Amino acid sequence: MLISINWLKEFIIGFETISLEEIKSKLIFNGIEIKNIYQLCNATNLIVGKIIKCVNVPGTHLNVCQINLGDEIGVKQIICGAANVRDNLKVIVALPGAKIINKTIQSSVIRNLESYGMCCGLSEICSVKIDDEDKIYELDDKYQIGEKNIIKLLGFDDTILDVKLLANRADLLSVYNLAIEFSSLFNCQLKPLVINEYQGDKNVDFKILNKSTKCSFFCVRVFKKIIVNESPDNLKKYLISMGVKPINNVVDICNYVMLLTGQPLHVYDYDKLPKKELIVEENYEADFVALNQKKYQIKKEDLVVTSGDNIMCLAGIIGGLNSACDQKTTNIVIEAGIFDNTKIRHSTIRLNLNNESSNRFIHGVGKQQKKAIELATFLIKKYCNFDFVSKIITTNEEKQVVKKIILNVNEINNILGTKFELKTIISILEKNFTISNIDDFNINVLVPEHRADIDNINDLAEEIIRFSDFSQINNEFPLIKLKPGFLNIKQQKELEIKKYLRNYLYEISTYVLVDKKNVNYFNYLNSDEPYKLVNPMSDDHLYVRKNLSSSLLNVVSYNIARQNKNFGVFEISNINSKNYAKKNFLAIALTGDQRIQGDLIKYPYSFFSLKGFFNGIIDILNIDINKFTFKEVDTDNIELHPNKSAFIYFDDKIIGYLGELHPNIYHCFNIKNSNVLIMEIDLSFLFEIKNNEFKFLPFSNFPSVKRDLSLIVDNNLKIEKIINLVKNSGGFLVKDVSVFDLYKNENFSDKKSIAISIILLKNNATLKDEEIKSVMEKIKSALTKENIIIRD
Amino acid sequence: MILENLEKLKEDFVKNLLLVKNQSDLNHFYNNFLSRKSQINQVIGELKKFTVDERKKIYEIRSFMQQKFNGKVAEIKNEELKKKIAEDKIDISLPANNFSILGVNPLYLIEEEIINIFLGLGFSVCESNDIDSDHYNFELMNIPKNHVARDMQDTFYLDHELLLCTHTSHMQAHVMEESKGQPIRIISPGKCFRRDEDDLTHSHQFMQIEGLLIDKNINLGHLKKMLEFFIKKIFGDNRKIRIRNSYFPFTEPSIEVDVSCDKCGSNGCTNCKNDGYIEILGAGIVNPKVLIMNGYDPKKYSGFAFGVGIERIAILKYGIDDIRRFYVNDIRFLSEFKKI
Repeated sequence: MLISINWLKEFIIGFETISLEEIKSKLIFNGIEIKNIYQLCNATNLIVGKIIKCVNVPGTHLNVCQINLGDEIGVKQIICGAANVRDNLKVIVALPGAKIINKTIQSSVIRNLESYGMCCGLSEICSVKIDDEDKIYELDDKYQIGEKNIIKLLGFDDTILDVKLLANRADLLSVYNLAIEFSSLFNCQLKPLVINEYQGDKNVDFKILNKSTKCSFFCVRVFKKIIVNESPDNLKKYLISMGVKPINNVVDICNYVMLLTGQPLHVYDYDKLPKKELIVEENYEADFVALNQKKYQIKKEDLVVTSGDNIMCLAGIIGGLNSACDQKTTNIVIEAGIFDNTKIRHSTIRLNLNNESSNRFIHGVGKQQKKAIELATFLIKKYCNFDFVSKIITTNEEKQVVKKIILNVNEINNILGTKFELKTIISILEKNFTISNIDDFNINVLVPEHRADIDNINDLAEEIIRFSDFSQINNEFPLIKLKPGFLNIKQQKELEIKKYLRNYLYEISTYVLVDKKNVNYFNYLNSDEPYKLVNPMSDDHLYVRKNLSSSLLNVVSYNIARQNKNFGVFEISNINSKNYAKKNFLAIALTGDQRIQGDLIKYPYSFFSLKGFFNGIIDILNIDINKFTFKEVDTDNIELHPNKSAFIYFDDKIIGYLGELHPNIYHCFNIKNSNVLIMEIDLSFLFEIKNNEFKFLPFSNFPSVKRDLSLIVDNNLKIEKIINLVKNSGGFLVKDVSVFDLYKNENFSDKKSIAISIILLKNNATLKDEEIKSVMEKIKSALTKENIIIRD
Repeated sequence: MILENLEKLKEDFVKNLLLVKNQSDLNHFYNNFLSRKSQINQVIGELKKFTVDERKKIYEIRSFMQQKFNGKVAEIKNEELKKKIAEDKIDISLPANNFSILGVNPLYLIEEEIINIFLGLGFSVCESNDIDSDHYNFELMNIPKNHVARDMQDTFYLDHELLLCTHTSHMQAHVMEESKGQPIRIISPGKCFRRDEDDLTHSHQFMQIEGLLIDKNINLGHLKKMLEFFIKKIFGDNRKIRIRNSYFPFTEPSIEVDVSCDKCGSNGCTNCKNDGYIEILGAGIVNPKVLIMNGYDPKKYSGFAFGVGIERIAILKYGIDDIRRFYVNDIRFLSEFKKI
């Protein structure tokens, strides 16, 4: 919101003595964000000139103007391309050397014609976002030719605050309410806003009707025989300061009253209304041409004001061109109402019609409609005159409800942690509230109508600390019951896993919202329909992801494209889908080599790297690894390499998958010339598994014996099966079986050679040779039975 | 005569010992001079032929030889070791084995740091969920359907009721519901979502940590102390703190807390938009309306709540130039963040 300092000065006595720095720091402290502070007009070397003669340059929009710039300078030639340049017009001239917005003016030659400076439009000398349609600013004839102080005379010597108000202070969208607030903040006296009431004529041929529950109050007043003209400068200046474009005196008065009181008004040309009535209603579906000459499609849910079954106004937002006031208008109707803020907000957003009026209704207007109309009446009398003014016609009576809050001094101090005395509180509050005493500790606080933000004692506490300062507040920890703070078991486990994985992998954080392509990959753990946004910003962020793998692969792809080819990443994140709320998944992606010693010694990441991480996680969670089974994926899997991947099962439930990407899927993630491995597990499920009780297991102190065996087995025989065979046949003396060599058999293409070592150990004695021999025989015979060849 | 020979032997011994250069010389030399069949040992084998004085002399020579030989053995061994050490020389400037610490997305570092601070103050952790109902996210947080604050937090909806949480404040309602009128001390980290276009300073997804304390006689001073303690822990003791009035529907009074800009020492610069301070969190006394809606009696209990933006803290603490970096996960970016 833009605030004119000059306008505030009209209501705050002594406001000119307050420095901008002080204003700034007070406003910041009060939560009003200052986006910018600037002078409305910084232009120099301006002078009033009168166009004596204006001749068009044939074939161009340019005019050669002879301009009288006063006795000192005389008559000079200036070339001007403005649409409204004409004889006898008084204009603002920027002389050579003048500094205006964004440029310095020089004497120049345009199309071989000399030009002594420039005739100025409003937006060329003032920092305003008002479209002046390539027109120069037309001065009232009262200004003297050669006047150099024209900026001050026009009232453009203003300072503008561009601020963002707090959302609960809609009342400050009013210059007078701002003046009330500022006078309290800066301890200045406030001038009252005197409003004369006109009785008006009761005999008026005009009806209003409110058919909508979304309009809580509606009133109009009819004026006849008024003169529509340009507004005087002292009206226009504040509109310009606040960024509102002057139109004509009637419209400008309505805007002026809106800026001053916060109540938007709308004016209709009485004679253009099809019937002498205005009806507030909904359920219209029609095209509507607004004052801005654009066409809008009105829908049933929009609140409109109609007359004779025609839409005259999109209530609270913008009027129709069909009933607009222009120079020929003589009779008018002015309307003020309270329209539902949600309704106005929805229409405003849908039609992209954010303006000063809709903004005020969206934030909520107070009950001040009659007051606003009276103020407008006073100004219309002053600037447009009228022969006839009606009474204010209302749909229902305005009820002023005054809120009363009982304030107890201890209660305030208990909220704030302060030691205020009641008299201090009273002295702070009485600036904005009516106070009546109850006793030594309690007062009645009457809340003025416009302070809709004040409801209870906490609101008053905020008001008190706002006008005091935070150093009044004690600064100590609360005296409350001691209570231990700690992470619960799940949180501890998750943190442990993160810390473990951080030793090997980068921990990343990716977007939850993904596109259609990514949401469809890797749905092995969660076959739910994904959540889809009703109101997405873009197709890139349309679905709530059901797994993390796709997100990780995109990060891998991004980094590979940037020459980072050897690394691993992981993420632990919430997963949400329709039947799957608040689940935690963990995913790991690996690419390239695991570097052992820089680039000197490295080893390609493989399925077994992922298997190792899974084992590590299971160790941390202290679950028996034998409770999990790895099952090969189907041969027709299209995302995972059918022969280098596995699903992890716990009982019958799939709780994870791991493996290399299918060669055909790499291009879907734009990954070229790299091997990538992915693992994802349902961490929440692992957290739920009952873990082993942790107890020390004594081990044997007798020496163990190691025996190696060289075997030739079928390619398809799993190592796991051989190891189990050895363990089962060897019995309790077999403590460990490990594979230490594995290679393809050169003689038989369907066989592989493996070497295993077997550790034998007895808990209570040293093993005897015959015991060893007997165990090894049992093992060998068991292996041979399974067609495994044992080499000597 | 033999004794004379022995003198000669001794001379020979000394002369030959000088020629011993390595282990094989040494073996050869030992065979010649000190083995069982060597001259001196043969003499000792016939010791009874000699007088006491002569015996003494023989032993002297033998002991001399043994001593010298031992010296040589040590010398050769030392030489050999020196040679081996020289051969074993490594280039210590070669790369280390990869035991160094990898990088972590700084969001997690900040999240864990904040959690640790509040664990120490007796808070527990209750993770926020990404998805919740309009009822918890808005209604129970005193943001009814027609509230302007719904504009401030433009929301992603999944259907007419479910939405992506716009703040972690919805956890206040959940925790109050679960705590059934008993005192509360929790923090709630989690992801939040708002319909913002992603740019340098905006992200449609971001992380927050919510804090909520409800107990008897809690006031704004307690909140102020707690936040000052927290901010100084994060940013260091030398940073100044500024508290401003603000507005949130679920707290009253509401405050905004700023930390002094470290680039300009709170004199004002482009980093702090000439303000000298940078906004880091919002907080306030729990609005009595919220207490009542969530089953707490405001006459008996009061509390405070705060919400901290993790990205914002990380940006300020580490001087990160673009909020999108947190979600791009460039390895070069991650590598810079190893430890708090």
